[in-house]
Amino acid sequence: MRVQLIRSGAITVVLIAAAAPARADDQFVAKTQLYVDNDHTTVVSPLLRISKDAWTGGTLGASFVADIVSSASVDVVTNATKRMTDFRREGTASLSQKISDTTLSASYIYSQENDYQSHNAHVGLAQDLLQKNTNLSIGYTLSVNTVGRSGDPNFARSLMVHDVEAAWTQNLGPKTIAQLSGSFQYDSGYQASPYRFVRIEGGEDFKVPETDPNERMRVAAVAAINRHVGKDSALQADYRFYIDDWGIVAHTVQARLLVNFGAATFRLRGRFYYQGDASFFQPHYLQLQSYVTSDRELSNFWAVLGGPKLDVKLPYSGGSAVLEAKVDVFYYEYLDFAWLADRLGANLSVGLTMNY
Amino acid sequence: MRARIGIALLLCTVCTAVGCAPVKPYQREFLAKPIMQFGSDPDEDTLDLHMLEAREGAEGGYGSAGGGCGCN
Repeated sequence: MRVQLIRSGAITVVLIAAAAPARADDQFVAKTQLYVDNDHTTVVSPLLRISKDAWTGGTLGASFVADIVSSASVDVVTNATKRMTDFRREGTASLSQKISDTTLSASYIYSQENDYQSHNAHVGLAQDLLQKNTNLSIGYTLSVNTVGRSGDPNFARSLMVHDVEAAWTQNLGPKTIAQLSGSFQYDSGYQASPYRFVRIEGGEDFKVPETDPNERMRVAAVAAINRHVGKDSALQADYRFYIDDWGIVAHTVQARLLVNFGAATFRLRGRFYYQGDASFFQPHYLQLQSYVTSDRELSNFWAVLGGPKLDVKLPYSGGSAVLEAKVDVFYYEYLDFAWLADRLGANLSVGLTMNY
Repeated sequence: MRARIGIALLLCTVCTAVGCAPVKPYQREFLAKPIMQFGSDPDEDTLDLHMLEAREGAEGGYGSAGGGCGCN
């Protein structure tokens, strides 16, 4: 679980940090998110970010994110440990340079916890075209990871991830913007969990270490639309199709309604996710085979997530300080995972953004 | 330069085919609003996607958070 968490998280941070729009002001952001679920997992994630317009067209950024994890989920309990705690910290440095209608960006992330180390480097290029009615962007991220095992200094496995993302954003009219985007990712190296074992139930029961293929190719494509409606509101919707060579096909649909009233912006959103299982995933293995897993993220399941968010510009700050609060509730239903039928939880977050 | 012109021509052709006319700068009052940005809160996206991608088999695809269209 943690292998995927670190790798995907780091790549996500790199892409978002690099893709964030250039800002006219220097900015400071402090947020904290609390994740809780009924699988006995709690994660507190503080985030600090600062960005500064350092010279004409040039923006420097730095951020810090941590995950303070406490878990007694079935993943942990089935490995003969009652509860695990962990602390992950991640630092990011980013640079972007706007030259006329072209924006170049680069960033680096270092992430570490007691059994995982990750280096991520990203370069990106965005180009405005057709009087800024069109924007094309492309980026590449390389992630070099070392997977360890707590309490075992001799265990070290490598994982390398190459990720290419591209996006086409287009004004369709005075009130409508659309975006088509996609990614291709190639993962090479150790992708199982060093803590997870799989029970082989045919005849004499025994357990073997989880074994996933060493290579994975992943493709995702997204179509999104954003439409201004009413006096000062927006409706956003997007759909993602995902497929990989482990046999997983997934569909994601999201919708958001944003309403501006006075100094506040209210948002309501909903998200639905469905995925089929990996070709080698089985709820029960009756005999040993090349690849065996007890990873519920490779099983067949669906999920819903939704909730409100409120941003309020603080009085006396001239609109430069914004307080936010968010509540998202989520539910996962696992259709063929033997150890867990469902998961219910919430993401709560509060934050402060200051433009100066 | 030649590649840039080629891309612009290709995009013009595609845009014409799907029926979208160029939006003039003075028509971008609504498009320039923060609520019209894709991924207007990249820090929130960072935390959200971090949580989701750790619990789901799919990831990626969302590309650029900004876009730049609609800005002045």
